[in-house]
Amino acid sequence: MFAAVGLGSAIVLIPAGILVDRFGARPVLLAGAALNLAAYTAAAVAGDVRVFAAAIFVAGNGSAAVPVAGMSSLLRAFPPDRRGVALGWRQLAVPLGGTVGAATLPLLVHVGGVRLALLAAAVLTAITAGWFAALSPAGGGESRGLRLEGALTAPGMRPLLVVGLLYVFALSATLTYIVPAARDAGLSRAEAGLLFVAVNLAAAASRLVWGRVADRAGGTRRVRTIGECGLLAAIAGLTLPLALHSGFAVAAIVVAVMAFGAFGWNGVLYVAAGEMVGAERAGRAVGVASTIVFGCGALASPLAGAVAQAAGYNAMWLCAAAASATGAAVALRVLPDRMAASPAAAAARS
Amino acid sequence: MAGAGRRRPSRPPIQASGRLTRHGYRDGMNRRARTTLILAVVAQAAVSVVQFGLPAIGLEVRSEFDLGPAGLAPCSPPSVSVRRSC
Repeated sequence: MFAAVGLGSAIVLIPAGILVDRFGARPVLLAGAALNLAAYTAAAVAGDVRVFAAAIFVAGNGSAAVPVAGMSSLLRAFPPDRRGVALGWRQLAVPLGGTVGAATLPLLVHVGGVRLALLAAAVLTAITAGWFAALSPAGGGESRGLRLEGALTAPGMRPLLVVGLLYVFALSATLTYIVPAARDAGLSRAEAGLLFVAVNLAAAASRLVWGRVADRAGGTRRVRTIGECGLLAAIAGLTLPLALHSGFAVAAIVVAVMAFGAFGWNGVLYVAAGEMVGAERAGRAVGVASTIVFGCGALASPLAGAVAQAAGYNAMWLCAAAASATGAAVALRVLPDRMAASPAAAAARS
Repeated sequence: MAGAGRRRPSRPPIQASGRLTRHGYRDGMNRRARTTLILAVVAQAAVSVVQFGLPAIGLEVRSEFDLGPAGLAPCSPPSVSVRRSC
């Protein structure tokens, strides 16, 4: 049932991007905040589970305004040599908020039940999105249409999405299965838990570090950085089967390297997508890219689990390495030529 | 002037329509860009509080609506984290 929030958000990321490009971030954020507030309030007072599920699905629709408006606003507000790290910070907010929610929502339930938790959540999201809308720069609205307008067919966009599709396997495999894989390799419960902490810390750091690397040379290193992320994940994926059986210290190092490669590319990929199609269609671009990453991430997790179940965790890590290496090859071999042919990408970096 | 040969070349201080004012990475952001970044991060974190924190109160919601485990999507911590990262 809680998948309804994520599903509700995922299916409207592209429409939200189109609306941001057409009308600007401000009205879309305000509409999303109002929808969020109304839907979470309805969920809080729902007496029937179907009404509750429908309400949090609609709340998810409203939530989609924030990531799309946030990413496209950052792409417009920052010059090319600052965008990577700006999107890295934004990406960092996603797990940060989830962690805060996992800690605070149970406390709110303890104090005033599920109703209080949902009402508090409704108010929090509405206030922050409204604040963002009020202070966000007037902008966007340059695109007159309400279609994709080439966001999928821009030079380099499709190979970039293929890279995201390939990279998300290592990301999902690492997050979902590092703990059971470590236990299967003979590490203790505490050691496996520490490996999960290492994954999260390395993932957080990677978004900022890779974002900054991608900003070098006036922001012309996006594609190379995305390729380097995949190569690092591929090397770590190849060594993980051995490392997990070589004791905690070696495993921790290789797992951290794996997380550094498998998690750092998201923000850079969104920046590259926005630059490929140009500022006036940046909302569409990040909508398309985040839908692919979000959707494929949801599918990659059970797929990695199926590989682990059929052939073992070692085979799953090798598949992750192969997917990352293939993605890196596309990023390093195909994307530079396509981006060179993209006038929007050249203009976005000038 | 051997020393002059070793001097580091200065970076261009302004690269994009007067936005950058100093050499440092943080100092290169103008106030409006920094405000946009802070707001984007805070608003995204607030959305994620509910979107990805909701499974943490799964048991309470189940008891509220008298549901069995099948009434909820499989929201084990690892799969929640997968969604977070995207």
